[in-house]
Amino acid sequence: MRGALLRAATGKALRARWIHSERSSSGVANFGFREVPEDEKAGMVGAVFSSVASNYDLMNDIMSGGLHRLWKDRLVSELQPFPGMQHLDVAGGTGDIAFRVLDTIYSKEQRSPQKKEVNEKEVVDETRVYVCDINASMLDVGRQRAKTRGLGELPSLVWVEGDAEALTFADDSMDGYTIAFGIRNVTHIDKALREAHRVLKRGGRFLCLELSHVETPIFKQIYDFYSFSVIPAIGQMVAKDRNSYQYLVESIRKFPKQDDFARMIINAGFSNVQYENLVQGVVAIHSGFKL
Amino acid sequence: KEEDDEKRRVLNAALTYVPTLGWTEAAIAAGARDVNLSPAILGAFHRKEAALVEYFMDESLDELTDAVEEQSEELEKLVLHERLAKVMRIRLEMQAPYISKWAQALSIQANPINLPVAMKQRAVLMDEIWHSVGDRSTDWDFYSKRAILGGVYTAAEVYMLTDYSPGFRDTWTFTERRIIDVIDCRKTAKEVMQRLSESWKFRPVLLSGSGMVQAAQLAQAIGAGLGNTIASFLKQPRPGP
Repeated sequence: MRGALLRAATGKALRARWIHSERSSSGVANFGFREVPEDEKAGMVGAVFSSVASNYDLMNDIMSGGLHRLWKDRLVSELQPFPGMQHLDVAGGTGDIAFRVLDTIYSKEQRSPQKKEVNEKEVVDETRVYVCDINASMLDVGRQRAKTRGLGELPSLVWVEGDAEALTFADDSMDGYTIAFGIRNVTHIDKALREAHRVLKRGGRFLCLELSHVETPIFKQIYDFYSFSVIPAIGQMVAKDRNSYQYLVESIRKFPKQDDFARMIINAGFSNVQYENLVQGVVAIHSGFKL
Repeated sequence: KEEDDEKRRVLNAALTYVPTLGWTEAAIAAGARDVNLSPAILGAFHRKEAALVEYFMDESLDELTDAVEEQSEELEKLVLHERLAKVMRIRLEMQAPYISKWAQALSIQANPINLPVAMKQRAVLMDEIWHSVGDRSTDWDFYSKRAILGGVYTAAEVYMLTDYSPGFRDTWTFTERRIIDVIDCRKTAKEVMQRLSESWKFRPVLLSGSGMVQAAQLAQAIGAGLGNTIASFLKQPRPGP
């Protein structure tokens, strides 16, 4: 597709307006509740994130009432990072997951008393956490935050601009792959899943944290009200951007249900696929292994 | 299923690291690396160290069955208590390479989360030992036999932890003596029950004072020989018909 080639060539998320002046025959994608031509979706998503990048934390706090921090903690504790790990965090531009992974590894290094024969520091130095994001603004915010945390010069932390559907990493190179609140923004989810399967080593783990579907009767009504009435209004008041928040809320509803998404993960080649609902399904952590 | 096979391969490779790394996640991670799997596979094991210990118990049970079959001729020449001692010795010797870390394995098994599986594996092991010495009875003795032998086995296992004699010689002596104690007790119980059922017509005599005292002493002796708590005794799964 022309859109995909242009993205790869320039490496930046493009503004939808001036590039895609012709409709391609490849199909439509969901942009929230709207249907848009497939190759426009990435550009439009890019526009959303470029505009919210600087307020990303604020946006997350509004949408989740501060709970996103706990959800991310949970994701990383499930991952169980270990020193020497090669980890890829996709669509994690601002570095939330990457920082948690590194913190866990460094605190494990200090606590383990038994590895006397192996040179601990060497093993820890082998650790690599790659943060891949399609959006340069998000990566910039992430690099800034790394600097303020004192991780600016760390060789273990690598920022890469790239597309979840076409990763630049080698086959069988990663011990872990996480994607937190990113997969619903991908145009072709199955492609992203297949890429995840490709870059993981055998025995490697895939973890996806994503806003998902609530089925519990009364709570569902409350959640719907909060999502469609409250969030965009707060978004307008605080970040002056109602439309981005409207998109985000709609994209959650359009995302496949927990079981359907699990089926997609199995189809991409993963084994032992399970999911865990947090807060009655507001968020779900899906997990799979490459075997 | 494929995943279970992979997991078992990892655990099998992990056993070689147990003497140095203990029954730990580090051993499992090292095992994973040996079979070309990422250590991230640890996430697929729910009770990690317990999984390793349980795998060892299952494998040892299979090895015991095989070993007993191979040595069936020599075993047949022995008396019951010698046979029991020999089979127990075969099984306990499998723990010899890991003896420096076996106390850790016992504490993992004693953890309340892991205890049900551990008790079940031990019950199955006791059944297998009785079966292998040629005992085929299905009378009421079944539970007491399992419990009695379980007590002896556990005592020998713990004794072995601090036995520094060459080839664990002292442990085998200990085992044999305990079995002898227990076999006598078992025979007595069986004899008494037989005589009781035969001599129902003499019940006025049996219900006399001396009969009651003897019964009480007998109950005490069995209780001491059991060596297990009543709770674990009751938890053992029932045999088929």
